[in-house]
Order: sequence, then C-alpha cells, then structure tokens
Amino acid sequence: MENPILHLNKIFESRIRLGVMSILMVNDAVNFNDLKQMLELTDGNLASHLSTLEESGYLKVHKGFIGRKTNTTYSITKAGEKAFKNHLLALENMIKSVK
Amino acid sequence: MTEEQSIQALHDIKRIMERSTRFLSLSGLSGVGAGITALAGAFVAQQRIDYYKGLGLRNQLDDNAVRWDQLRLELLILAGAILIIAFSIGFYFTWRKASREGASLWDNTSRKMAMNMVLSLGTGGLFILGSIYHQYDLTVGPACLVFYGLALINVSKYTVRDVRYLGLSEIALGLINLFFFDVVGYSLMFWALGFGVCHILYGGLMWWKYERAPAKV
Repeated sequence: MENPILHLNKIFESRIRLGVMSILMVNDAVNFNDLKQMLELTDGNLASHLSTLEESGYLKVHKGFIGRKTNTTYSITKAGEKAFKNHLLALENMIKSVK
Repeated sequence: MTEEQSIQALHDIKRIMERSTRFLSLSGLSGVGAGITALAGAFVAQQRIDYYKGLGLRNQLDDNAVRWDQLRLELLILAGAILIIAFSIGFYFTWRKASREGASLWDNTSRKMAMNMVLSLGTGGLFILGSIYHQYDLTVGPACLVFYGLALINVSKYTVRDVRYLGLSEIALGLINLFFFDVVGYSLMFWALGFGVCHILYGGLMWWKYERAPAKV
C-alpha cells in the first residue's frame, strides 16, 4: 500500500492556512477583514499566510475599492481547489489506514 | 501527522466552513419571543373583531362600510406594531447570544442572511399591501404565512438548518388556510398558529438543541 502521508500538503500544515482555504472553498470572494474576523487573527499574521498561499498559486488577490477605501478580496484558484481536495483525501486515507 | 491530528484537522475544516457560511448565533429564544408577541397580538385582534361584531358588523357587503374600514385600519396598525415588537425581541435575544459567544452580529454571514430576508419579506409585504388595497382580504392571512415561509427557506442556507422546517410549516399552514378554510374568520386562527405556535415550538426546539447546555461551538 502506498504511503498515506505522501499526499499531505506541507503548505496546509499550518492551521491558519488550512482555515483560509476552508473559508475560500465555500465562499466566492472574501475580503481581508472578514477573513481576519473569522479566523480571529491579527493583520500581520494573516497577511504573511495569505502571501504564502498566493505564492503557491492557491489563491487570487483582487484589489478593489469601496468608495475611496481599498477593499482587497481573496478567492481560491483551480489549483488551490485541487490541492485542498487532495489534502482532504490524504487526511481521510490517513485515518482509514490506522483503522 | 498522527491519526488524532488528522481528525482534528478535518474537524477544524468542517467548523470553519460552517462558521464562514452560516450565521449560527440565531437564538431559539428569539423565536419564542416573537411567537408570544404574535399570540398576544392575535388575541387583541380577536377582541377588536368581536367588538365590531357586537356592533352588528358582519361582512363588507353590509351597510357598515365605514365600520368595516375602521376595523381593517385597526388590524393593519396592530399588525405593524406586532411586526416591530416581534423583530425587536427577536433581535435582542440573538444579539445577547452573539455577544456571549463573542461573535459579531454584523459579519459576512449575517449580512447575507439579512439581505435575503429583507428581499423576500419586502416583496411579500408589498404584495400584501396590494391585496389590502384591492380589498382581497381573504388572501392576506395566507399570503403572510406563505411569503414568510419562503423567506425562511431562502435564508436557511445562511443560518441554522431548523429554520428551513419552520419555513415549510408556515407555507403548509398558509396553503391549508387558503384552500380549505377560505373564510376570513379562520385566517386569524391560522395566523396565530403559524406566527405564534410554530415560532414557540421551533424556537423552543432550537433552544433545547443548541443553547440549553453551555454552547459547544
């Protein structure tokens, strides 16, 4: 049998990044403040995790405006969706393999 | 990564997905409060109807057109007052629950829920005002129930799932009222059942399920 840990994605080992991906899987586009609020994080902390995810090509950043205030929204990419699903499968297999 | 960590991770994912799409701070007590308000309102309405009946008012074809209009106006104002009181009470208990949980009352999920609610209820409200304007009194009660039921089903995507069943009950009552008890006199009874009894039952059930014990969110 193949090693179940093989498909676990290193990037999702952080609970915060896993949280961001979970939110973006079920919401079309979410802005920075809503993400911060849902995950109960500080600005700097969230920003660094978001850029990691962006560099991996898992999320798209869209800079827009509401009036004169900047409104940055994030959404998941196809690659991000695929990576997340694979990670879920790997977690599932991991649990199954122990039983 | 151990098995336990995997289970924990899956658990986190599920919780975050739920929390980011559903407004879960909706309190069952909001439903109970709104239900009691509706029952009290229905009682007052019945008193007023009986009072006018005592004056000899029977139906709008009587020569008592002035009194009939007076009764309709009274009931309309009463309905408006019930709506405002019920919403205020509902808002209070949900606000209380949200602040206890440290959740925000105005976030992504509650915004979506409020917007969808306003859209459906606003449409229903205008439809009902139109019916009243054209003197289609028979459809007013059932329309209240059906539109409210549809509004609940619509917002149940964004909040606690039980709301969907409350919505189905409201629609069923509205349609039964319309098809089988098509006399204006029965409308108030169905209205009290739908807005009073159903709210208290489902609100109580939600409270029992989610709030009785210290919240495990």
